[in-house]
Amino acid sequence: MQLRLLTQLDQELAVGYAKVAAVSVDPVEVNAAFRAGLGAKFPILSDAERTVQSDLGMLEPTDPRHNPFLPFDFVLYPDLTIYKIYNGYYFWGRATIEELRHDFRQISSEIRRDWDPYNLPEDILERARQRAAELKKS
Amino acid sequence: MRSDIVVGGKFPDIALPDTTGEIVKLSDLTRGADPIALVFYRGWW
Repeated sequence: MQLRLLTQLDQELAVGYAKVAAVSVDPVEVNAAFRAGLGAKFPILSDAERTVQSDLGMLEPTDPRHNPFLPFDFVLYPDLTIYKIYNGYYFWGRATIEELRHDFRQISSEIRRDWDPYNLPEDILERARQRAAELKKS
Repeated sequence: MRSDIVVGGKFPDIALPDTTGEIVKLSDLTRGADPIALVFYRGWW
């Protein structure tokens, strides 16, 4: 259900300079069918060998038959610094799309130097002036 | 969970196959420019 809800963000991600990716232990072909069924545009990655699961120590201990991931959501800055961690062991612990919107807004306001159009840095203004001059010539 | 996976720490630049089988690195997705939400879920079943 969580991934189905996340597909609602696909259109916003396309214009919002942010990304979503999902990871499971399912094989590539299972993820491909699942993604197609969802109609998701975000990537779904496969850790069927469970190398990432083992490295991160994220094995779900109560299901030795399937050995799935413990459900966690991580929101990361572009340089992969961890901004927030959601413990999704229970459904209500998982990030909602509204929480992700807030997280992306906060991160974007921190990393986008042109977030505030009334306080643009001089180098950005200068580039805009140069571009305007070029357009005027052409 | 690994002890360095905490808020403010660096998430490892994992590389895994996508639904086409192509290996994708986390840093390929962010391009050093965009934030990302990474969702680990139990699985299809």
